[in-house]
Amino acid sequence: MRKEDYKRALDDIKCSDEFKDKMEKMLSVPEGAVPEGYEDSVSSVEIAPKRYWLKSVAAAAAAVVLIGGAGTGAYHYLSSMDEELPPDIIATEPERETFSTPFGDVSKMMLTVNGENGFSLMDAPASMVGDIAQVLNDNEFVHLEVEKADGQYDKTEPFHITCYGDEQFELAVYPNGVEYCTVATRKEPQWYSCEDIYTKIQGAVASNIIYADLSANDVMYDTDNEVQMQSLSDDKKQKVRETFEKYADSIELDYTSDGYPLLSSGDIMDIGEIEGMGYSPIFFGNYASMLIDNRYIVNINDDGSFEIFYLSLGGVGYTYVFNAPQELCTEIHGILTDKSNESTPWAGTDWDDTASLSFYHDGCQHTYYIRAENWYKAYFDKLDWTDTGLPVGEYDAQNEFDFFIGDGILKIDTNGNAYYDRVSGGKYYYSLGSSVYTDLLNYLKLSTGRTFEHEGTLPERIREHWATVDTEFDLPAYNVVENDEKIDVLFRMSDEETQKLLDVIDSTTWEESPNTVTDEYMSHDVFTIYGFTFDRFGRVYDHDDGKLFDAVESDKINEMLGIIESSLKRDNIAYAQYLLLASKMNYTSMRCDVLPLDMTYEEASVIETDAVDLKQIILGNLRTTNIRSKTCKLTEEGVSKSFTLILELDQLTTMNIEFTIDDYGTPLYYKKTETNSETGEQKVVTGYKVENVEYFHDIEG
Amino acid sequence: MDNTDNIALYAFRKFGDTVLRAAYTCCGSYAEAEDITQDVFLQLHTKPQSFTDDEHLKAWLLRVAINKCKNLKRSFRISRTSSLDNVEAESASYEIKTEESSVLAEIRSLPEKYASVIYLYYYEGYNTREIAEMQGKSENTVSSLLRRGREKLRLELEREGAL
Repeated sequence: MRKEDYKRALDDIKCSDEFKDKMEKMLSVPEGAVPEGYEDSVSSVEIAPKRYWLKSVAAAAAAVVLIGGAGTGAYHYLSSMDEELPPDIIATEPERETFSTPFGDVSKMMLTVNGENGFSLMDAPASMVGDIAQVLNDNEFVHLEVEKADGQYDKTEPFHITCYGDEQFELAVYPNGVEYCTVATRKEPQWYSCEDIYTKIQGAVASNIIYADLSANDVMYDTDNEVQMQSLSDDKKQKVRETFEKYADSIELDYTSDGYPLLSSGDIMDIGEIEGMGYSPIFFGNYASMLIDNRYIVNINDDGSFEIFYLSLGGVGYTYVFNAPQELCTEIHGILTDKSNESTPWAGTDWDDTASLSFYHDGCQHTYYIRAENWYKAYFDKLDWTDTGLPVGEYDAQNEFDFFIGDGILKIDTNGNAYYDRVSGGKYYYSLGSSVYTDLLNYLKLSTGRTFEHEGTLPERIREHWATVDTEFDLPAYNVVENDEKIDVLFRMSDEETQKLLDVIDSTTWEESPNTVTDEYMSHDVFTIYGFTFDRFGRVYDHDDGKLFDAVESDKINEMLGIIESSLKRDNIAYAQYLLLASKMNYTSMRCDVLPLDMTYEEASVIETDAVDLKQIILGNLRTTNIRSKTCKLTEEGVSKSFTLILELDQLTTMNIEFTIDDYGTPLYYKKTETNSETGEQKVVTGYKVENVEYFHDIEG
Repeated sequence: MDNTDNIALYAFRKFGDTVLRAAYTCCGSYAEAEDITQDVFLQLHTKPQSFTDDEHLKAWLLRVAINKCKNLKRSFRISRTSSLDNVEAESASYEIKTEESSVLAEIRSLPEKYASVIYLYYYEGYNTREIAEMQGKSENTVSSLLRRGREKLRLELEREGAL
């Protein structure tokens, strides 16, 4: 579809005269006044016919989208909820009646909390079901006969509960009572008043959502406005939970809003994503944050309040702000920052998730990902770490190792000294007085002048190459688009702290600028190329807007990538080739991250492919350096596709790399098998991460 | 920006079509787009806000409209029924040229997450950074949504033989 077609089609979408007249009339009342008959059609809830409604509830239960929150005590956030009765209900003579419903048999509850910005939905955990049932059973309800206007039940109730048990029933909860009906007779709801019932049920909900999930395995925390979180130990989780429970009666819901952005379905919820979404602890002025079960963030503020951000895939996240005693915040902050039981600066850190090694050597910065099973952790744990109290010294920028571990960086200089810079707790200085630096060099088999030299500056090399590219290329008429020559290359030189963006405008024009595009990659990539969009014929388009970037034959693309490879000479170049291969399988877009050693799920996911004609593309673009033969098998099952690269590396070794691709073309998973035909020995790597990468084979072998 | 005595009325006269169009692309229904448009301007009317200029006002209106579309989409209890009369009236309330109807059908069928980004980029002319700020997404995410949305539009049209 051409852009003009899109715009022309939408040009005809205009307000009808009738609608304009209606709006003019409604908006002509004094500002601030609510026009007659107005009701927000989006935040209000319309009740569908019973069958449809129940089906929807079942679907919603299957995909728990959002957690609704509430708090005990004050109730501020929606003025319309101050009404003591639902609209259109007129009470007559009160009649005391026992509210005998089978709450004891309730096994499941779906809760809807209607707020100013819509509603939130939750599938109540078992503990919450029990607490709500207890509230309902322990309180006395007065039955009121009411006159019901047509459709009165369709009004938005502040709080709605659907109970599933032997009998299914529904409760619309208002500030001073509930409207009750069984699912079978839901068109004849009964009204029961009960003092403070709304607050009591809110309390049961709030007490569960605040700390029910603190027992989850995956609790990360962050202090002092850094997004680099680390795992919370079981001991600390228990203490935090106990603190919330201790002050539960003093916690009040202040307000709720939809201040959190929408995530696209399929987005990966991790720290990087949160950062990318604009999560900014500094903005909220908090001084401690917890990410719980990858579902919500609790920000503890220094003003005696805390916020809960609910995250959702494919839905809208809501922010709930609670007022809490200052003591609660202080105590939780103290728990999170307590280092008294830590024997090493990184105690309690999960190296699997966070550790990486970066070092400078011979003009290049190199970054490796580290796993706990590697020797580093054991090696560092054995050393005697002592806080010397000395000020932080100067370190040799050209010859230092930076171990990014948890929320800190362990820096080691050429003299064997180290300091651990923990962002959450100031700086610690340790004097090892040992041979750490030389040990690391030996382990990494590094020596001056070997393998890591940088051949000229990359911009120069690319520019030289670009001058040789044939820019004349005949394209089929239907694919001719505007020529917009541009390459974006992110690079970081050894003497620079951050990446720069190299815009190659044409064969003679290029410019450098600070990298403001992909901040999330600044911390770990060595060299990133993006901005290419490839098609199956090897033509190149701009990644962002799809315009033709240039007509470059595939071998010239390979040539350019080869230059990049060669300018990053390193032992594990074979691994870089794998990534380049994966990139070139992409028929509509390409994103190439040249990363040494490891490949994690997150890294794999940045390589986007639509898996169209994969086989031909793979074989057509496969580089043959160091590969004796190549074959590819492609299989498709429904929307998922997988392909296997079979690479004969030498006479003895065959490597199979199997990729599985989702319906968006993103490689989700891969498995690598390396077989020695002589011994029959087979190494299989499955999952999101690769172990036994060649480089560390050499080191450890 | 003039007519500050009644910002909502001023906004509707200036950006009513814009908001309706955005809502239409996101929710795919003219009737729902009207509801959302009404809600957006009445929200502004009942809770007036100040804006630095028209662009600020427009961005706010679009953001609120798109958010309301999202709320509508996820409202599992929403059920709309229309009589045949209503359907006819709805169809008559705006004109669609015959040769463009398939294009509109494809636009309506585009999932909301792509539709809003595509609309803001191609129709309203916002760049990816502005859209990212407006929707609280990273620029990379916006770029991906743009690309995928564009591909979906193109692929669907090719399948239907519209191109």
